[in-house]
Amino acid sequence: MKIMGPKIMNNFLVIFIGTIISILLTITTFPLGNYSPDWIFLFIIYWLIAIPTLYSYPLIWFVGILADVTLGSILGMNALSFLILSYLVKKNYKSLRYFTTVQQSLIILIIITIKITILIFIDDMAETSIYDRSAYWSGLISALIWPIIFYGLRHIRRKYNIV
Amino acid sequence: MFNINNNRSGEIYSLVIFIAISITVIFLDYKYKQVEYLRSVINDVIVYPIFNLSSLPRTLINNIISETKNIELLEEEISNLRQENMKLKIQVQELEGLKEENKRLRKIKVQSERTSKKQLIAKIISDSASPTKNIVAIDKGKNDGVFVGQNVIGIKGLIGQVIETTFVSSKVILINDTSHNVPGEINRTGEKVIVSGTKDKNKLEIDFLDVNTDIRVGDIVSTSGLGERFKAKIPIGKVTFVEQDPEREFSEIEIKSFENLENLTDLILIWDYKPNMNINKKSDNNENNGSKDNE
Repeated sequence: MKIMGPKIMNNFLVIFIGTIISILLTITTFPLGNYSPDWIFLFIIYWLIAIPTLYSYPLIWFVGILADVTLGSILGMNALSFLILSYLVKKNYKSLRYFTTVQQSLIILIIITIKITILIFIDDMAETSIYDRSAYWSGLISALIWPIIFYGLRHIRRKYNIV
Repeated sequence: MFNINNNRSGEIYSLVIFIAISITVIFLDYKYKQVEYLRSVINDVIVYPIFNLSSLPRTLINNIISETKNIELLEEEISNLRQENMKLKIQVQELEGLKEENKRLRKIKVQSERTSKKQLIAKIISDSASPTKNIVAIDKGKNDGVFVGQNVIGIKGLIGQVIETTFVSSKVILINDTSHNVPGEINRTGEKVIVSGTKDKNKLEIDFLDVNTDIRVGDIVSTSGLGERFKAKIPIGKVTFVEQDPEREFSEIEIKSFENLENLTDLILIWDYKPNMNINKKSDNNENNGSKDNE
């Protein structure tokens, strides 16, 4: 039990600071419009591949709600898409781990494309017109930026020995 | 919250439960707007501080620039201001007299109470509060009495309307957003038009105006008050381009807003006009009805 205390604290800090930084990046890249990468979900995907137990589903849902508030979309849209895709990533984390970075980028492209399809689907039903077809660019940009996130977060994980 | 379930079935249950919760929340938010309170709380507690954090570098740079301004320049400015102050003081004395007279006249005019209502100057905390729309976040919220639909003006003319409020901040959609339409009129002729935003942030346009309409470059367009969303007679902008091709049905008209919508400094929230928000609910399916904000 003595080891559990600091470990949970450490994990909490990782999630807390990581989420705040990803929201900060989202806000600062608002001027790019649809060309801004999906920072919040990329951060989650990294941790799901590295440590699948770090993010539980309730937590992913909560971060999704935060993303909804930040983006001003209907509450629950991003949360739902995060949950569905996190399930896919959690299920296949072992094979994802052994992919090369380029292969992982391709997977990211597919994941974000599915995510945007879900968002556009809900958006069309609710007639809020926040997302349009050009939102798919976000998937490509996210895939291109994935190596930076991957190596950056891996550096942090190794430096602070987060397991 | 962490590492609660190591067994797989427990995880699947929580996944299914939270997917169900998400769908419920989406439905509640879309259909009944029940979760506005939740959104406000999350925004105020978590997102608003991060918004402030994101605008910190810009504020710091601005402060540094203003502090390192040349002292000589400042001294020159002070002497200029002193002279100006003298002149103004003399004018103020004259104005005092006029003010008394004005007060007396206002008492006579019943309508005058409309002009003396509350106003508030708001500061912008984020230029772009949405990835796809021209929405800005301001530092006044429900606590200051801001309400959804409130007209937002600048010193020179119309800026937009409030679309979302939380306790300490709100979001304002600008008139140059592509999904935003303002019912307006041409001051010279009284012709009613609909002014909408374009992809170009500096330009507004008038769609669906007949080619035979009398409109010229330099005409001033202001709000008409139709649709009961915007107060009447707020100036919007000046016509900068007119193309009336007789072979086409509608003329092409571009308007330049009086306010610099790309680089806003001060917003003024006004309380002397209460928009009729029920109109939008009645004609929910009828989209092009005056102004709409797609919310």
